[in-house]
Amino acid sequence: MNIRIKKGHDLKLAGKPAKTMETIDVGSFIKLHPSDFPGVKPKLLVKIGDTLKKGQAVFTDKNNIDVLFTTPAAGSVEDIQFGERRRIESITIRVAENDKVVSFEPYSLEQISTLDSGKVTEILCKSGLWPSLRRRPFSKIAIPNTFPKSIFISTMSTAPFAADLEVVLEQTKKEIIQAGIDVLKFLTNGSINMVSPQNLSNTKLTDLNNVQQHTYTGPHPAGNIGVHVSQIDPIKNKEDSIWYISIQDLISIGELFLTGKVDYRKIITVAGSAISEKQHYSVNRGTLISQILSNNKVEDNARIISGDILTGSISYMDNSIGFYHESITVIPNVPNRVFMGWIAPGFSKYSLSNTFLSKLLPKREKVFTTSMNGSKRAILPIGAIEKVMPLNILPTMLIKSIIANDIETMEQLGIYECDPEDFTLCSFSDASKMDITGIIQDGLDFAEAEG
Amino acid sequence: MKFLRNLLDKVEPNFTGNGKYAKFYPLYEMADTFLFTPTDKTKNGPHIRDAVDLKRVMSFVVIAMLPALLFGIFNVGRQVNPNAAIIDMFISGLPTVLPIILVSYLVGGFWEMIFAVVRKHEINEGFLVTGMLIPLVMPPTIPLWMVALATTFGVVIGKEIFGGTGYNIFNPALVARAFIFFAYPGAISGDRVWTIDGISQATPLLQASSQQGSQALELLGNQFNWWDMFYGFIPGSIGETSTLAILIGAAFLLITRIGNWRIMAGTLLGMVLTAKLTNVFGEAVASSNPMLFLPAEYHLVMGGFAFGLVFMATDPVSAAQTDRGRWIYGLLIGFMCVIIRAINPAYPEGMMLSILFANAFAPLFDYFVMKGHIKKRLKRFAA
Repeated sequence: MNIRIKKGHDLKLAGKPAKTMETIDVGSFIKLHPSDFPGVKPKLLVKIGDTLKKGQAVFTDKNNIDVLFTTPAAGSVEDIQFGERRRIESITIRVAENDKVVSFEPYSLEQISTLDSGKVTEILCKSGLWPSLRRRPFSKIAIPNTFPKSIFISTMSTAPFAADLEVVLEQTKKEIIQAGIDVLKFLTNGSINMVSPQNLSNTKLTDLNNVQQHTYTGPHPAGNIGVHVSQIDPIKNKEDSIWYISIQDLISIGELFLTGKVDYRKIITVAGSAISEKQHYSVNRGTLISQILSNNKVEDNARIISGDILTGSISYMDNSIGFYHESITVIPNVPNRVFMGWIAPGFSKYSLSNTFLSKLLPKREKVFTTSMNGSKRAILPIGAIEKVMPLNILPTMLIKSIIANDIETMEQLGIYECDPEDFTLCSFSDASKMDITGIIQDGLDFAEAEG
Repeated sequence: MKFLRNLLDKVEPNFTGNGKYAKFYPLYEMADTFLFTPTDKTKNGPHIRDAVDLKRVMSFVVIAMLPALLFGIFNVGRQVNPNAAIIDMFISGLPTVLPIILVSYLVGGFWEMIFAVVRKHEINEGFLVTGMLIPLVMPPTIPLWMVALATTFGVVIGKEIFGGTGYNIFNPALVARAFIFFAYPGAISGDRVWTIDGISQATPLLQASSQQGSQALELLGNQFNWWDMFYGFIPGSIGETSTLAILIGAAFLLITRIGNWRIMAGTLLGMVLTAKLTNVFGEAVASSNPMLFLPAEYHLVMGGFAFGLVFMATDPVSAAQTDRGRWIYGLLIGFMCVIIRAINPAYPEGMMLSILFANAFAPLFDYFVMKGHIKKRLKRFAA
């Protein structure tokens, strides 16, 4: 089916990445951040000084001890940083120049179809690729040995500066994608759905078996999983579950089963108005941002964001890129204080509202800073957030029910269909500057605990 | 500008932390963010934000009221000084209107500040709008102390006791007007209301309802024709007389998408349908009530209908907050306004009460819209 949405907006931002690609070495240190995985209670499996093979488990989740988190490079444990209440913040690994690697049995496409769900789950968990499968509601790691009603594969995000599908698929083979799909087939009794942009046809994605192909058109968030799920197989209640995975992670899974080795490389974009070399990069997971940006010039007073500009998190040079992130975005972090900005005609202001004269001018790509562009106020429902909410949700009512901790109304209004990423444009456009994405996350946390 | 910035930065320490005037930080914050856009940065995703903020939204509503205000000043002057040149009329309106605005803003601002300091929150821009709405719905003859009292009542009882802008149930400016209406009815209704310097004249609404057994249009007679009322050359509250000036404001609110078109359309539709109904009903029973015969286009240009439709009903906080709820809310206002005008013998103006009435019902409409939405969701999931 074609998912066509109208409510939404494609932000025109300065700093688009070019379609070129460069490969980045892994560097001398890598880092793992357990905080990349919401809901995971990490339990260390290594100590400082341990020598690790590439692909060896570093920590596991106390709630799901089958799920292993593995090192994407061989080396030795250099340091383990703890935060408040001995929460593990990061594990630093000194990369060694050897080829010790944890390997698995390779299968042909035909052999994959003779496996079973238990075997497939075991391999995925041991390889450290299991965490790339996430579930909705709650966007946490999928629970092994449970069966979702369907699985979704997202091929390309509509968020600003998303990695280009052509670039991502350039060095892969159709067979690998098919292998990935065949593996996922064991994990659900329902369908596997692949959703791609309608205007992009790639021969590597056509005529695949065991998968239902869908397309989407429209502005962001048309590419969001939440939008696809709500149209194809909506989440009806807390017990409903769908899983999702990105095309790059699917390729890693296919690769693992066909070759018996984990490919920890992924393709990311480096973009934003405060950085010089904006393009695609092939990086190893766990690579430090300083290493990724080593040939790049970052402006002073810039914010480094791991992930896209709407959903990513604030990061720093000595962190690694987030496990689920496929972009590094760098934007100026200096709010410029405009004199009497509230009444200025605003020829160069970017707004979804009609209150600036820039609306009459042709849209140009805009440099955004991290400024809130205003102060936080109470809800003023003028209908701005409804304009960018394509889900069948009453956002103002939902937000109010969350603030009131009214779990019953929250559930009835469809909190389980929601994810903060679907509300980023609501946060963006709200004149009261409310943290709507944060409120949705609070609602989900509350519903998960109490519902 | 550099000088202003330096000055603000210099005095800032007095208002923060252990500064001498830390209690009055809201005042500093107001001045600081009034003069320069705030320094707040995003803390998490989305890392960038739209350029619009509440200051801009609220000041745009005030801008939308300017045509009505300017015409109001002119119209007051016209009644004081009927034979003067246009510019002189405008100037002679100023001494009457400006003090009312000043009192409204000063008294309202005072209460805003008190509540901001006590509650330790910023001074909300909502008062920019309320402070202008109150003078515009007052008759020019209103004593200033009544303006002060009404503003106090509107801001404190109408808004602050609910928690401030964004939490109020009723439109604070209408609460202020309702206060005068009930506390000092002589000052806001009756046939000698619009007396300025000895000239007294009934408003068209009063005129149209003045005599049983006739029809409204006959009673209006030659005294008020439709175009005069549309342009606003009639006695009435300061901002409400010129439908033309109000429509200019409406266009501004609709283009900037600050005013909700569904509420405006719903109110207009409700009024037109109800007026048609009363016309037919009046004919059918050969009623002696003159107001039953007033055509819809006259309802539009008389009294506070247009002003209420554009500036009062559309207050996003006290109105319904769902699209369907907004339609019902608007329809109810239009319906109630005509019904009150036509059926209520004591008071020919219905807009204030009908909006307050609809304000009270708005959460209920939203509740039903929400229930309907939930039902539809369940149905879709059952399929």
